[in-house]
Amino acid sequence: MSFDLADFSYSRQRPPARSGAAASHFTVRIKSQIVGLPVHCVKTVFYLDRLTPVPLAPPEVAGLANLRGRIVTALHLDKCLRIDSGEPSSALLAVGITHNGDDYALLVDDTGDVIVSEEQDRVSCPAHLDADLAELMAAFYRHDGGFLSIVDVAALIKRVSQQGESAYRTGESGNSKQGKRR
Amino acid sequence: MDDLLTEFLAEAAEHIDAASMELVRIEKDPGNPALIASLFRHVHTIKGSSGFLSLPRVGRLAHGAEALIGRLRDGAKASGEHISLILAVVDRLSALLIEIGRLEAEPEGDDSDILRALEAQTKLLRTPESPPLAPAWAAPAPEAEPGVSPAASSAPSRDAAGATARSTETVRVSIGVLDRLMGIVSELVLTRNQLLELSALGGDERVKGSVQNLSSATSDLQDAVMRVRMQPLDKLFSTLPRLVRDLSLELQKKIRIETFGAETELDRQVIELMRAPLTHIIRNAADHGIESVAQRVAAGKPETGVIRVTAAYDAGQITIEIKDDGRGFDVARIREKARERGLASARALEKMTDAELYPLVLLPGFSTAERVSKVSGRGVGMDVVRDNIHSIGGTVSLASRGGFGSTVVLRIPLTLAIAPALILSCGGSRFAIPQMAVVEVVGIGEGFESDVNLVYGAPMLRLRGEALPLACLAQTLDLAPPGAEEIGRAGYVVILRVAGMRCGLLVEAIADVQEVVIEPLVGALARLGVFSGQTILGDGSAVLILDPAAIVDRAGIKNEMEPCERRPLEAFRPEKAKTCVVLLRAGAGPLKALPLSLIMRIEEVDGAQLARSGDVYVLPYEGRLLLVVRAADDMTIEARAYPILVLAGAGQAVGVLVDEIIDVIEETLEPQLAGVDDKIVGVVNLRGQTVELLDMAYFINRADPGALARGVNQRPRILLVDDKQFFRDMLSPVLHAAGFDVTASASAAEALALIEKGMKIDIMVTDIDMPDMDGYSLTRQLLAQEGCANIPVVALAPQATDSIREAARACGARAVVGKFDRRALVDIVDGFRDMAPTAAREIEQRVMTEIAA
Repeated sequence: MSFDLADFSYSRQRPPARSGAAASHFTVRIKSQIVGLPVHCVKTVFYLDRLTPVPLAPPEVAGLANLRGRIVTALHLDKCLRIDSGEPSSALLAVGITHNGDDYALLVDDTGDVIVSEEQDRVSCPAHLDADLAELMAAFYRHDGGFLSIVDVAALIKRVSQQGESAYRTGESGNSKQGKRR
Repeated sequence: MDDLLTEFLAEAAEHIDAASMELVRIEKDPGNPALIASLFRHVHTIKGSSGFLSLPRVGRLAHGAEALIGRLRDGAKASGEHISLILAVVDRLSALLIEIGRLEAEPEGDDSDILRALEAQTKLLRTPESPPLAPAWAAPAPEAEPGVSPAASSAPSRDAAGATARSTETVRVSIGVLDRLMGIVSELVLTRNQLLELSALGGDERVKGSVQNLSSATSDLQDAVMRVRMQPLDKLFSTLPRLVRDLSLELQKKIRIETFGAETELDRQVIELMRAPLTHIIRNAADHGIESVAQRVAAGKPETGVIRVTAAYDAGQITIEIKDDGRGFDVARIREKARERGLASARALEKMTDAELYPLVLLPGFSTAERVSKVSGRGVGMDVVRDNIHSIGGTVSLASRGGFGSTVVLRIPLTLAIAPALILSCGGSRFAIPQMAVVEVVGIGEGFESDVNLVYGAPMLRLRGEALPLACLAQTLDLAPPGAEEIGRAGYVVILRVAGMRCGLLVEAIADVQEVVIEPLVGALARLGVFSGQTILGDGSAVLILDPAAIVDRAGIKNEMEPCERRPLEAFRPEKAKTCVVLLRAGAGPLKALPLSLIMRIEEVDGAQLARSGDVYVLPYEGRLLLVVRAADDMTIEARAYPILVLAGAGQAVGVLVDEIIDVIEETLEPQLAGVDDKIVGVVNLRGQTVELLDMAYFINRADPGALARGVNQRPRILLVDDKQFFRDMLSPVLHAAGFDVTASASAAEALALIEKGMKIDIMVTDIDMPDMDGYSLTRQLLAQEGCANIPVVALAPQATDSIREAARACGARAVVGKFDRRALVDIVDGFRDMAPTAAREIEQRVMTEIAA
């Protein structure tokens, strides 16, 4: 174990320095945090003008919105990543992503630049990061004195989907039967 | 791939399918010439085409089969082995075609085994008259279909029996093209909706007119394209006979399949998705459900088990029911497996009813099959079925009757990509609900006719005399602000038809009906269950589409699974009603029981308090004396507490003394034997115990022998008027004991005052000699009062002399009785009791008037 000033973490092992392979990430700000999304995931950035709430949905789900004729499912990125700071965000700025053929819109407070990170700047998961949260991150890069977490979109969606299911299921037999209230 | 080859493969596949079906039918109907001829033609066509395309293996197989079929056509009888053999050829051809499709050429292979078998059989079947078989297969037979051309229409079938009648004029279109067409039409519908909204807001009249035209043309186009995608379920059902035949042979059982509703249409994609689940369910029914021949005979069932598959429409869904008459689900085994696999806690399993256990079968990893047979029981079965059905938005339900069979019901949405939906609002949001599920919409509140009542805390809608269970959408979706308790104040109720049941959904407002393009929800939202999709309305807002069945279920409205009402499979037997009975012990001997409804009160008394009077007991009770009868003659009364059941009826109360109250249970009462004892109505079997049912009438009769004969539940009221206390005190109890309520007045004036105040009496008994006003005047005055003209009046006199009788009659009194003649008095008032005016009289009069009119 060593404490490396350079990356402010008790990292168990240092990843071997590799050359080349730069990765581009689109940065967004949620509350005071900045995270990155792989650029190939991000299709569009837009403002939502109307949001239809979804009853009974897990809190991460903000609702449904109409984006140029297609319905997108809007998610509170802050809630997904457990970045709460109390007041609900009124932001309706969204980053449109597509995953497995479904269209989602991740609600963020602000968008930033596209950051290109070199492979050698890649670090392993900082030890202080919550294990739950760490699962939602695909990678970490050293950046500008701190580090940049890259969101694992697939893991994020999967987590939200499971929330919906566990809250609801008690062993029913199909789309519409529920629980023991038979 | 070569166009010709593609065409050939597609057509040959159809011929093979048809041949397969026909073979199964021929097996059941061996001599049918039309079927055999049709079969021959199919195989013959394949043979011909294969020659054209240089597919020697196909050709040889087809030729061999054709030869055998030719024997059958010439009159030889088809046996089960023949059919199996030809089916084997068909299967081999089928596999071969798939390979050809993959490799774009015929693969190498050896079919000599089958070919030899075919030859052997053919030789055996040679009938004396027929000429030796000509092995001319190289040259295509003259009547072969001329090759396969790209835009050929399929062979019109002139089969007289219509065995597999093909449509007359058809065109082959690729599925990809159809899907693209569907997609374009969906966009068109969306755009049309937007245009409609915009033009409604105002604008040029000519534009409006054009938009209208566009709208109707779009609807027509949409209908036509939807219909293109629909196919009858027959496509699915036609393969089932073969499946069941194979299963029968494999499992050594006798199984027959019946299908109904094959003409029901469904989107072709859905049909394809249904194929595997349906197959699996039928395999299950054959393997686990239907018993072996020996078992069936032992159980008194016919040798051949029946699997009945029925399809029907039911409000926007297709219901497919697979019912077998086998042994039903093994409930004990299900419990065991569920406990083993940790699917539910042991305690929860104990409490579950049979109906709650069945859905466990649909959980992953569940299988009660002892041995993993080739057919089913791999443990990956029903949950995969459930997932498949789930993925197309359908549901699976199970039911079973031990020993009689099981039923699986699949409910599949028609998956209309575009469907009309009713737009409603609730809790500040708008939702859509498929119009198919909506029967009607009624308003409630001010100015509307139906209203909402609470029955045992659950809201019900009273609609045209019918009571429908009601679900509040706001509450079901957790949209209601906390504390909002007023259901049914105002709003609308959407009457839904869900799985054969009607119920109401309470919402705030309804907008209109729109054609909406249904889009699937993302996984996270689809799993919520209550929404079946999402859509964009004409004004651009995204709304959720409600799933009626899920909403109703979540609201807690029970839907006892019942198959769609069609042909009644058994004679209708009305439900036996259950009665609440008190189970008690009285004396030695069997337990006794008494219906709870007859018991007014249960008291406890110390044995010492009971005063004996003959063989009954008397207890001071609420200011009077209660007659207490022992429930059994062999009860001994000691100085301890005894429960007493106070029965009240026919204006009398009586106490029944018992040793101990055991329980209150709810059961159906069907007395088997008539009671030997007066006290007993009969003997019933309650939960395995022999119980004697007490006869309430006996006890009431002990208290007051005349009570039941009189048959009224109320005690009539007598107004007793006598200025002398002595007579009032003497006669009141006598009349009271005779079953009347008595009001005594000391003077005529007092009596009249009571009447004027509104007291209702049935009979008046009055002394004649009274100061101030005498009995005669009193009678006259009473009878003159409004509503009192029919009250019988009995006059009391020292003796009933003629002059007194005459005077009494003149005043309207009906009888005169000597003051001390208590028996006569009781007889006379008893007689008047039946004539006492009651409310019933008015009813009868009204009814008779109505009938006469």
